[in-house]
Amino acid sequence: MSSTSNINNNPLIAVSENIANIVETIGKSVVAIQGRRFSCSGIAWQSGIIVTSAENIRQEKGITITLPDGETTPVTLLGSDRSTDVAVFKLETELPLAPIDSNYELKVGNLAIAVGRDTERGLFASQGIVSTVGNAWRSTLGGYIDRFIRLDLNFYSGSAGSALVNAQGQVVGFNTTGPRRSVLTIPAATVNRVVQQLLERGHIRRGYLGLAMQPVYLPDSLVAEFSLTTKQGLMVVNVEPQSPAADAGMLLGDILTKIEATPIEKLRDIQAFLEPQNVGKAIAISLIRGGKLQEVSLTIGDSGSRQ
Amino acid sequence: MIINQVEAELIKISQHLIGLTVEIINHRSGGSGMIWSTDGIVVTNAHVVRGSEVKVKLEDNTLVKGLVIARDERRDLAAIQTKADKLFPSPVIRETPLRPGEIVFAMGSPWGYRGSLTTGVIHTTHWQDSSHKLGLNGQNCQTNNYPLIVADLSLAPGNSGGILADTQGRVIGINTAIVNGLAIAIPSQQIQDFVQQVR
Repeated sequence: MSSTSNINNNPLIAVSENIANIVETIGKSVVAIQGRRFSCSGIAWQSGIIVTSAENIRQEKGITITLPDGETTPVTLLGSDRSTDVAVFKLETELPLAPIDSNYELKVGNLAIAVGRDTERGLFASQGIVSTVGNAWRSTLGGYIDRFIRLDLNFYSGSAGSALVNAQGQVVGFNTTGPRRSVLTIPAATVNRVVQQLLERGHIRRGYLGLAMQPVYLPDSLVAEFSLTTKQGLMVVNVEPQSPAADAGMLLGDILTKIEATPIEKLRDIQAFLEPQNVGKAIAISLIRGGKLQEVSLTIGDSGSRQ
Repeated sequence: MIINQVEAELIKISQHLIGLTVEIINHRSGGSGMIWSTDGIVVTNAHVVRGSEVKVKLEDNTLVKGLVIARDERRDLAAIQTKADKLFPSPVIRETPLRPGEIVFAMGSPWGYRGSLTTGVIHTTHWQDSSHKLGLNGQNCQTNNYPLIVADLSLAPGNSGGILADTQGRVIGINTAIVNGLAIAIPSQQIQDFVQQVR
């Protein structure tokens, strides 16, 4: 066991070199993003477009980027979507684009290679394993995320926004933190969708109702009278003026029980209706007002153009 | 399967590194040490050895006396001269530059568990800010103006003074500290310089 042993067919050495090669290649498309109170990594996702984790962006102006060659340049935030954790910057300098694979199906046990950049530490890598792969899920802010990906990977300062690279050397998403210090990956498919929307419209569209609501239990008599499938509804506690809800004539104290065919019990039940593609659509809301069941038609607004 | 071949290599490396690793036993503290040369020189961190004399436990559990012949608090290095009956193995030093992402191994006695192997990767080769206070085994030390190795690797108290090696079992450096969860090691080149000054 020394450098004199046969190194040509040693698979461990080969694996190590593969990882180092992947890190070197991807590193040419990974930048460090620096604000006054934060630093994170960013990926050259499309021509002139840098993607990172929105969670870490604490300011909109005065943000600089350190490029792979060490140069520092100011950047403009094009927009960010907290619900999917995607933030997008416009970069004037051309960088080699990261090879992105948005169709790659990660499996539990796949190698997880994280590639990031930090103004102090330069290009950095960490390596772990894909720990959980689940179906599409919705973040606490209602963002639709195409896969639930949790990593067994060490996360350091500046690791937010780092690229998750598979053993093929393709970027399959960016890394961020979830509840209880878990390390999650936002899949490339989700990033692509948000970036496209942002470039087309200049902002991230989210459905907007103009309602504040709170879950309440319904008396058994009402549940029986209207043959409701649930015992809970959402009570309106605020209606914003000039909002879609105000236009639809919704009132304080209305209790929502159903939207279209979906029973409504919790705020989360509403989020699916606030997807970007539903903006401008009319939905039928069943509600209890003054002890009577009514139906109201509401046209979903765009949160980005809200007054 | 390749995975079996990888596993076989891992076992080979760990056995090789165990042979190069000793445990340093002090009055109150302890750590790891690495055999540096066949004439019985053992290298460890300065913060591992407090006095001028330590006990050194070899791989086969024999205890030998060690005299601290040099220490450099700034670089956090110490050299110990030991006397053992048998000839010590001689480590191979890695000469080529490191690359972020390459696999590395730490061998030592984390929490006192002798002969423990941990694996990780080189995190960055660009560490410039070495003004951090480094803390391991509850000690603080400064290694200003010296380049450091930064690895994405689990270290614990007791790893101090132990070997950081590459996939060929070559010595990259000496595990010294944990900073923000990252493993910090002093490069072999500095150990070489240090030992040369001693001799």
